[in-house]
Amino acid sequence: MVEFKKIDGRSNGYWLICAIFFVLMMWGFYAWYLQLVYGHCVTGLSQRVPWGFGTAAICYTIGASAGSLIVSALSGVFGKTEFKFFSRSACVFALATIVAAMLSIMQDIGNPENALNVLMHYNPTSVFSWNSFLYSSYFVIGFVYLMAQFGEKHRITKALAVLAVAWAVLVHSGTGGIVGFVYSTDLYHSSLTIPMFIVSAIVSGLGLLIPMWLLTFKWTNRPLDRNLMWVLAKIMGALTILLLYCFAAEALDTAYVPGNAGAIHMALFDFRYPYAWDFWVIQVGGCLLTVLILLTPWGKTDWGMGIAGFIVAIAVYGERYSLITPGLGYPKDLVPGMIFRPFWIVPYYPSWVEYAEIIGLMSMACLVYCIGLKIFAILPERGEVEEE
Amino acid sequence: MSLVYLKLFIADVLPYIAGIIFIVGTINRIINWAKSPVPLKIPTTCGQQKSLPFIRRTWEDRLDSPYTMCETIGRMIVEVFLFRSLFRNTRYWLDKQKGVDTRWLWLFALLFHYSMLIIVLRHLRFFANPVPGFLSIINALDGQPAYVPALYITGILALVALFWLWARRILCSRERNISYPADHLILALVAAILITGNLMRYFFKVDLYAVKEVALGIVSFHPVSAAVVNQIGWIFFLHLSLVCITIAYLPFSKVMHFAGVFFSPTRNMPNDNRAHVHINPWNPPYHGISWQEYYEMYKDQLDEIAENGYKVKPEV
Repeated sequence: MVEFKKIDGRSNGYWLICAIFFVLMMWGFYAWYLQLVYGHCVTGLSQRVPWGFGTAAICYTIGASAGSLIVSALSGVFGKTEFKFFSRSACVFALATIVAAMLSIMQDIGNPENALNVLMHYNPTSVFSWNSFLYSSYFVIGFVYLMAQFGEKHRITKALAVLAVAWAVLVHSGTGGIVGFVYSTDLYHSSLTIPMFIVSAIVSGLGLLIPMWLLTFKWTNRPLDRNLMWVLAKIMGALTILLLYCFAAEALDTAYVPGNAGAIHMALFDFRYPYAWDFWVIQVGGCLLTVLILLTPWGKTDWGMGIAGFIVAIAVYGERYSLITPGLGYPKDLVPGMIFRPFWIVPYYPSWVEYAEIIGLMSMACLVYCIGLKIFAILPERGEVEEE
Repeated sequence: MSLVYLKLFIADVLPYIAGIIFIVGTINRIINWAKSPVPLKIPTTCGQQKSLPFIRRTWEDRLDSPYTMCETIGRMIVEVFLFRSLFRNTRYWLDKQKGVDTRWLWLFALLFHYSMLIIVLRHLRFFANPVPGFLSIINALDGQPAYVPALYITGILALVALFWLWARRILCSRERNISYPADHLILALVAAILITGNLMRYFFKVDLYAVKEVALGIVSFHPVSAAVVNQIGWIFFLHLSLVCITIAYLPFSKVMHFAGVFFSPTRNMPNDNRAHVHINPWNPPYHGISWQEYYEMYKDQLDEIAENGYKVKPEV
């Protein structure tokens, strides 16, 4: 039996953290306000690269949400009762990040009224339409799952956990489909995108949750079983290796098609553009560094696990980014075999507005988590397995 | 593909599902309460209880510590309509040696509940044709011509009071500690209903004739057609589905206090412990013995006592 208890939340440190997240959130909303007033010209986006940092954030936050929900359901679905401590907090974080994801879609579409188009002109053949249904139902299912956990309804919780995991996989597969199903862009079309999205979702979810839990339990002076954290870190490390394998497979698969030679060269080896830097330094370098940290003895300490999680969370962001923007930066093959002039590669550098918006939304999710700790009983009093 | 099927579902099917869940759930809970045994007489009182005839009792004592059924009913009426027990919401801080008046809870609870009552009454104009006369009086009193359409005071007041009550649950440490997630859920649902309703009235206006057709269709069991629902804006369906979800959720929530208050033993029992015995329904069945059986059991001893001139048979 796990005892969940609200935190007191009256210390100066608590208010300071909330204040920092609040300021960052308001900074993000100010950036959004600028974008609403002046249009997308304040971002680094262009006619050719309309999907950039913000779109990567959509995939990333949805992935982090799906990953958190899968971690939350570890006890419910797989019977790992020792992970029940984390089920509520991971679920709250999953709901907060899915809201952040929806808001980053709102930022991406420009005029907020455009959000209603999906309702007024529903197009059942569009992957976006499927996703609009999946995201909203995902929130509802996650919410009901959380309420069932609060109500200590064990059988319903278990059933809902299975449903929530299935739905999380479906939601993130749908997100992967947005990119992976596109045929006309050289670097997009890949059936590996969808399973890779699921793997990176779990990796990024764990990457965000492990440092978050370590800090939460430390700052609330509640005991936490380091072995449990180490099990999660090991899962994260193993999936990171799988992710590196997927990168290699996808890159080789794309590069083997003769028509893709130019595009893959730009994305991977042309260091005049930001895309190759992102691929090698952030995406592959971050993943390798994570695996390396976890393989050393230092990786078993709090600092090691926390930093490894943080690095892999950023590396997955780099992965989302390199999945979306290079494909648009390289000109489309409008008529096969013909090259249209002018033919040029568009580099894309995010502006501060885009950074601010995404940092603001992630801060909002963290702020929701911090306030949630105070209002709802989502943190266990002792994060340890009781000696029987 | 348009969303007409979803709209038709919300307008024609969802209200009935919600209504059935509400009615069955409410009856179920009321039966449950009515069947619950009351082992002790536990009215919570604070006035002078009925005692010897020369002990004076004011009318307040009669309400606070009712002795007869009439007084109990009077107490219940005051409780239900004026929330008298909330009016006693005061605190004493031992460390500061100071009493604090926190009766603002009573004020905002009263504001919220009466505003909601008037809001529900106002909505009757959609469900009745012709519109009853008293509704126009309510409308005239409620609507202030500060804006077009007239600003309904209750719609604003209910929202303000609701957020005040919600802030109490979040900001006051004692209330935050005892609040369950379900308490926040119902507040969020009601807040969403009030906000969508106000938005619909003042900003995203909808075709009220079509809305009235939908409402009349619901109460007269004549489902409306696709042509009618297509005239109504999306926010109406948001409002209506939130209302249906809330109505379906009510039997499982704390909002059932509207029926539960009548079954709460601390309120619905007269304080007459000293005058009437309260039989505990959990008492095991009592099997006494008659005098004849008793006499048979102790025949020799009783006869001996009787021979000595004592009276053994009890006077009944």
